[in-house]
Amino acid sequence: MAFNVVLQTTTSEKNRMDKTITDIATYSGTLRADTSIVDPVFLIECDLTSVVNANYLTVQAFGRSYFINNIRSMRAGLVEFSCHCDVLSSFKAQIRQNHAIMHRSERNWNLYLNDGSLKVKQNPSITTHKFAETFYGVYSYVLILAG
Amino acid sequence: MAQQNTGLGWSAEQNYLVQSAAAEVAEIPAHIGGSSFPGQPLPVATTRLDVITNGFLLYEKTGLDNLRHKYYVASNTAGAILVADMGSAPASSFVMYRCVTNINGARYYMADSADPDYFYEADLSTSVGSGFYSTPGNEATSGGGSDYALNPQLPAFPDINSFIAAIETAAPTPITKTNAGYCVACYAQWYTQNGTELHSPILISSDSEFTEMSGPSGYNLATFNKLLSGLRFYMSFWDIPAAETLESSAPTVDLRQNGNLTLEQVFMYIVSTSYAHVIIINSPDPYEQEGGDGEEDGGDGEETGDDDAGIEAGSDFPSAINTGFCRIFSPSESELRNLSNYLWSSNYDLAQVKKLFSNPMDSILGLSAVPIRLLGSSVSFSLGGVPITGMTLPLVTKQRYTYHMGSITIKERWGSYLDYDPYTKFSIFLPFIGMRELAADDIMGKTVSLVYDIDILTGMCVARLQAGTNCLYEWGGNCAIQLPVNSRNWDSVFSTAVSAVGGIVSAVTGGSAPLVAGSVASAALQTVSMKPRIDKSSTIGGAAGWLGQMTPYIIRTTPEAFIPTDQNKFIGYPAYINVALNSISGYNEVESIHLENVTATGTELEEIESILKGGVIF
Repeated sequence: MAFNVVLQTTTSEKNRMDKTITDIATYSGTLRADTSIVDPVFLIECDLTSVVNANYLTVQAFGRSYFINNIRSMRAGLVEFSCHCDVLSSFKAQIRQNHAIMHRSERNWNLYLNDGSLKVKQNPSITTHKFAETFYGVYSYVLILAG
Repeated sequence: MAQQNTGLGWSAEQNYLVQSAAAEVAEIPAHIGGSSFPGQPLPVATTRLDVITNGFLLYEKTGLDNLRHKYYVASNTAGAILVADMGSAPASSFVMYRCVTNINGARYYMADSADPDYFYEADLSTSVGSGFYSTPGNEATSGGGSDYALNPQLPAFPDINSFIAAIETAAPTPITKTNAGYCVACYAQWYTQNGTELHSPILISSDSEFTEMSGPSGYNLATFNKLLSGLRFYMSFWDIPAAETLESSAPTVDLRQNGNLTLEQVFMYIVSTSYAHVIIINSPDPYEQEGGDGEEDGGDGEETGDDDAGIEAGSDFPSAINTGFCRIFSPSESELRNLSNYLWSSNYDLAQVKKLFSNPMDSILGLSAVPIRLLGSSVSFSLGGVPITGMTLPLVTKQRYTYHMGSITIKERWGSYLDYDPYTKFSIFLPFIGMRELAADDIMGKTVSLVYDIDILTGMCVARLQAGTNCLYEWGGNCAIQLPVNSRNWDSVFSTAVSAVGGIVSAVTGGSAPLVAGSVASAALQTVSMKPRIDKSSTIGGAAGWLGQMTPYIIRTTPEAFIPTDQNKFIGYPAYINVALNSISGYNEVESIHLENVTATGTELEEIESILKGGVIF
């Protein structure tokens, strides 16, 4: 089965679902040995210097994108790419169809939930405020007489 | 730039900003300092500037389109202002002015993002014109910096009185857009570099000029984010040496030889309209007082009478007056002296004293002083059945009086759980009663009023803290000081005094107990609850109460939150809500999820769930 391997570069965070990806080169090949589609190893005939910036690849036939964990030069013109599936990006459309209870969020939060995430300094702020009225300087004598 | 941990954070949804303004200003490098800033840190004092609550009100000005200037003014209660000049070219650029007030005086510090050499100081208490300064190398000592120095033909800034007059002319009821007593006005003039006035002085932040921006929280989120980006953009300038500023790296144009340039110079003044009322900017006092200023030189609400809001006679009370066995008078000191003289004179005929009394003085049931001013109609009276001729005394017709001490609005400071127990603590000092603890949960967000009910016969008082008509707390005490009129009365006074001293002594000796107990008991709790609670006063009543504080007040102990910049982007804030994952964005951590309809392998499903729980940027 022939399929295409697209070598790519991403500068996005590993935990970002929608990664910014730049294609470097596309190679066509076939499966020649046992391989995992979760942690595949690809041998590609290419110039090492032209692919050293690749850190990501996509195999459309597998329906997955991969992080390149290691690049090994096997011999001149033959480079081995050890990969691991980027499950977030590969299945992002299906993941987004789910609901979840969010523990923490960047944009939808409730700060009245006390999870201890807000750190407080040891020195608190102490303020005082007087009520408007006072007993100061005000008094009356009270004389109580029988009868 | 060491701007980390300055505490800048924003929750758009919560309309809530925490910002450490003082810290940022203090970080301004030396080259920013100018003749008016001889030392570091800059004189932006106050520890109160570091907290901005209640969010920003954001205003938009679009009426000066001839210059394609568009202003956004955001103000808050803490005296910090952001002014964004959306600029003219390119359209996406804008200048961010950030103004910080010194709440101890009528001074503003204004930073110009487009020119970090500029750091203006304005002393609005004297004259704006003489109060603006630029930094070294910009030799102008007044009037607006180097551009002004290059263009001395530009008119000077108008003085503050002209400025205020212009404001009041433009907005006779100056600036109604207020936020907790604070609002902002901008005043601008535009000139070309050859001194041609492009726009007359204009007030640009009255209601008619600025429109509050739309949006669920009163602003447009996208625009606000742009503002915030601008703020960060401006902050990034502080690390750029003077020689590398945008101004110095821009193409050099001798403006003096090219009068046709349409580069404009914008003078912007920012003031608080409350300037006219002397108070420039209130500190972010969490309280909003009602009913007066609470000075210790005496309140106004001391008189009885229907038209007096401070005190009213109580009702529904089993009054001793109504029994007919006694009458209560409220004599003045001179009237008491006259009565005393009369009783010891030969005019007082002891032979006429009713046999009901073995001692004529027994007919005086009591003499005391109470901390309210009583009024009554003067009537003739008798003592021991003997009419006292030629003398009258004000007769008091009520036994119970209600004294309204005013109200205080307790506002949240952080908009979070930090505003409640056990993080925020309250106590209240009550004259004649002492210090008492309040639960933040009970009073937060409420306007609480304090009312004293006083029984002038016994001197007993009950202080009630109310939220509206609901009584939250009641404390009892005694506010009367007994005055001796005979030996029996003196015994009573003496025993009361000894009792009061005993109360104080017990408070002193017992003061260490809660300290130790608190330290031990809370050892495993969080920092805030490890603080010992110290008794601040004992029960103070009767005669001792007259020696203590006579004005009630609330003490608020608020934690100082320390929020790193963009904390929400790195670790988020607590959410605990059920959401559709296709409706969220940004960083999120999943508490629980049942993944369905995902065609991944079992191992991959476990990995997806693990990653989601660890935090994913959607």
